Amino acid sequence: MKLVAKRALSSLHKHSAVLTIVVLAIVSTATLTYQAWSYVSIELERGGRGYVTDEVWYVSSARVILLKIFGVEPRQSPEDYGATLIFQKREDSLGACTVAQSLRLFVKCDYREIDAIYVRGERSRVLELISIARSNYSLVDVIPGWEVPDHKGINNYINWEHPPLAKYIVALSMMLLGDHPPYWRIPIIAFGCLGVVLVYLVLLKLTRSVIMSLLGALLFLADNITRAVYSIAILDGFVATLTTLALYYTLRGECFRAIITSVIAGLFKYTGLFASIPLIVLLARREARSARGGLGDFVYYLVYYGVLIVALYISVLVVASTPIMYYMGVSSWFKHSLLGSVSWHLTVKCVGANCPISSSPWDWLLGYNSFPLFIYPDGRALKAEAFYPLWFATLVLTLVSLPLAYSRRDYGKTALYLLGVYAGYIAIWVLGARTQYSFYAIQLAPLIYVNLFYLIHTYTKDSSAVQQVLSSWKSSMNNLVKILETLILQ
Amino acid sequence: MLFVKRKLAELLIIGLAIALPVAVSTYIHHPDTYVPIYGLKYSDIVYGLYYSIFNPSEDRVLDRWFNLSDFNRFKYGGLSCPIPYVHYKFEYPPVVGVLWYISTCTGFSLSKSLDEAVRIHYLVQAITLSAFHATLILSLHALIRSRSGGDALKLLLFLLPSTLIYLVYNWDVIAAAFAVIGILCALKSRWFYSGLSQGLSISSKFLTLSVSYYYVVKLATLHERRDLLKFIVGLFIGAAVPMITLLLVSPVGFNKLISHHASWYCENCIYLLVVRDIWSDLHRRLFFSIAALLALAYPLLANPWRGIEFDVESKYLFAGVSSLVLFNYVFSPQMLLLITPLAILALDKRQLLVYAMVDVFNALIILTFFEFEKPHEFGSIPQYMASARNLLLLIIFISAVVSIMGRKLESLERGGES
Repeated sequence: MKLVAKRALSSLHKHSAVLTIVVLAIVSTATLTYQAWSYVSIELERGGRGYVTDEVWYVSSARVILLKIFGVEPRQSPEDYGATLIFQKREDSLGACTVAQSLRLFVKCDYREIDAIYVRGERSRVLELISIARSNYSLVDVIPGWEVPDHKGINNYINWEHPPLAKYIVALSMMLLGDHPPYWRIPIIAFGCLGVVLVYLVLLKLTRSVIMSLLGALLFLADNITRAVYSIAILDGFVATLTTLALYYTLRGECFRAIITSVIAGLFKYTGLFASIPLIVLLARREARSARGGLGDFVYYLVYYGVLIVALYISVLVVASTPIMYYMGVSSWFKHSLLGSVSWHLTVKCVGANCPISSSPWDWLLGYNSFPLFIYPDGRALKAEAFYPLWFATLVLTLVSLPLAYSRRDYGKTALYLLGVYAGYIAIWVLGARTQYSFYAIQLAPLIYVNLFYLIHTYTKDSSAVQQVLSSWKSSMNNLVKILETLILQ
Repeated sequence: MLFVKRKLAELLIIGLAIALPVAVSTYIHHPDTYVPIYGLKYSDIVYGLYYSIFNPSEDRVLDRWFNLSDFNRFKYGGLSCPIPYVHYKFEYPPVVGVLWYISTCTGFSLSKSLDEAVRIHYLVQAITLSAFHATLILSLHALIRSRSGGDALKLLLFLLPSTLIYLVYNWDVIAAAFAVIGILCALKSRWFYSGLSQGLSISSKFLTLSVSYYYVVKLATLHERRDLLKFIVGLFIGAAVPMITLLLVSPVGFNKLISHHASWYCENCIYLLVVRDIWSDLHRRLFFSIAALLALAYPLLANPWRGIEFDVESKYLFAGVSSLVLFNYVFSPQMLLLITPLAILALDKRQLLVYAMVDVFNALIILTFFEFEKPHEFGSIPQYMASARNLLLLIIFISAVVSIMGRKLESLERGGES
């Protein structure tokens, strides 16, 4: 009996990492699903359209891409078939509204910016209404599926300023599961769940401590910004998870996979390419060292790998965007989606009282000017705001702990990821992107918690790490004082 | 003979350090005495709280009282002893609340007139605060004496204007006294009493929390599990039990206490130099961020080691309390009284000289406060005084931290870590 118990315990210990992953996956899926579902119930109760923040753009464009580029309708049951009918004139939409009511369809006629109505009911009746609308009213477009947001041109909007991959995935979810807010959010929830597991795996690789890794992953999940952004179908969560995956590959020494991952991250949003900044630095350093070269070689390889990754990215982007090119024309795609979007990303996007609250990258560390993602019925706002005191403390501690990078390669890579990605946001701010939003910071979230828990683990387990950091700073300060003395006194 | 002379001199210093601040502070803030500057006269005990609670203007009654009927019952004699947190908002922690209840209730029991009751209330407060001040000086003296080369002359720092002005003014001396008693108990390895005393200190003013944090990290780092347990039990009884009791007795009063502190503006804070709007949310955010950084950096990079000398330990305690006060978005001038005892323990003579300047600038804040319009805002004379105080204190804080890190490195290089 004892032997059996012992064996069971030993087996449990062996599989503890796997068990923890399973538990983490369940906990994170439950947490994010609950959060995502809470918006649905509130929106349905208050008669809203169900979109949360920028979902109005990404989900709508996913639907348009599915419908108008791939020629596929979102999955809908014939008994509960929805469609938005768009007209040329207001009076036509009002007329069609009356007809829809007479056909005993559920109808919403509250569009203001576009002359449209949304109907839902038996498919045959909806088609009957469409047929009547075509012959009697100036029906311009029909978008089957969930009701479209109330924005001019939304029925043709494909969100060309961002790369297409996230919209393909949301569209796929609409096609396979249906066009309903929880289904739009399934891909991001899956990526959130993967992100939590990856934080655990990265920490496990770095610390070999199940407890420390579990705590890091759970705190990452508990952070407001994680729960908020990973429960809404916007692009930044996808990018954050892939950035963590790139770090994981880098720590395993699989640089090629890390590069591919960062390039794929860039197919969700251009900022995904920031994950390649640390890789470029690492590769350039490696090459410069193996060539026994100096700073010149390092800079040469920085440029070399930078150009190489950008070239690889553009090639992959072209392949991924082929359907979009087919829809909008190659030259138009090149002008708008490639060149246009670069300049769009580097300019001030919105100025004035009606613009959403924008923030600079350093605001994210203080939770300042946080972006309101969702307004609850009692007036409270769900903001994309992290546990900012921890973020601030982690970034400062990471900078202070940089001397560790010389003796602990893994830490060098981990710190470089945080600082490299953050530097990317600061760089585009300098180049003109002054209207960044606080939910972009989700890309930093996993890196923050990985760095924090690595440092906690290292400093508490190994006092030589403390000694190394303190003596490095002491000698640096002494050198600085000597230089100042030389400059001032000689 | 020399020994007797030294003893007599020490007694004289202790006597002066106790008597002069008590006498001066009690005199200048007494409601009946005359002083030429209103800044000297003003105290939270009388003007900041007593009159604003018990004699508010008609339109401000509900700013203080939870409901009008309670106030009217009090005003017309139906409620002789209103209870803080229960009948009206009270923004200080429970130990101060209890003392406030005792003093106001004594006043209202002995006199029906508000102006007469205030004298009794003031006297009860003055006697209590003086007793705590005396306890603080004696405990501090015991701590100084326990160190070789400890100089009782440093106690004369209490004769600087901040202690004279802010002693019988607010309740910081209570928190300071409990904290120092806690340190004394820790030095004698009486961990339960140390925790209890430091808990009561937190229940008087939250900002001495860093003293307890120091000991929790120290005991945890050194794996002194029994001592840590004793300390935490004492701390729980001293800090958590009063707060939980308050929460149970009056959830509304508890919430108001917390929300009052959470929503305060930048009062003489260090960030005013860079963020000029006193109502900006940034002040609070900067405080919480810096506090988190220090709270993390301390156990990770500078955790205490076995056999740590008390002079280094006192630097930790000084750095802990002064950081929570200095980087806070509220740095009311009386809060310097929380730092002064630890400055006496931690700082050398040169640093104490700078600290004396900090003390003088701190006193000038209230002396100039009522002489200018918009004294809270950047550009006013009181804020220049506050900024000078803050920058000088920042310099002392940085030098204390550098010194701590140097000693930590030395201990690591010696291999003296546990």
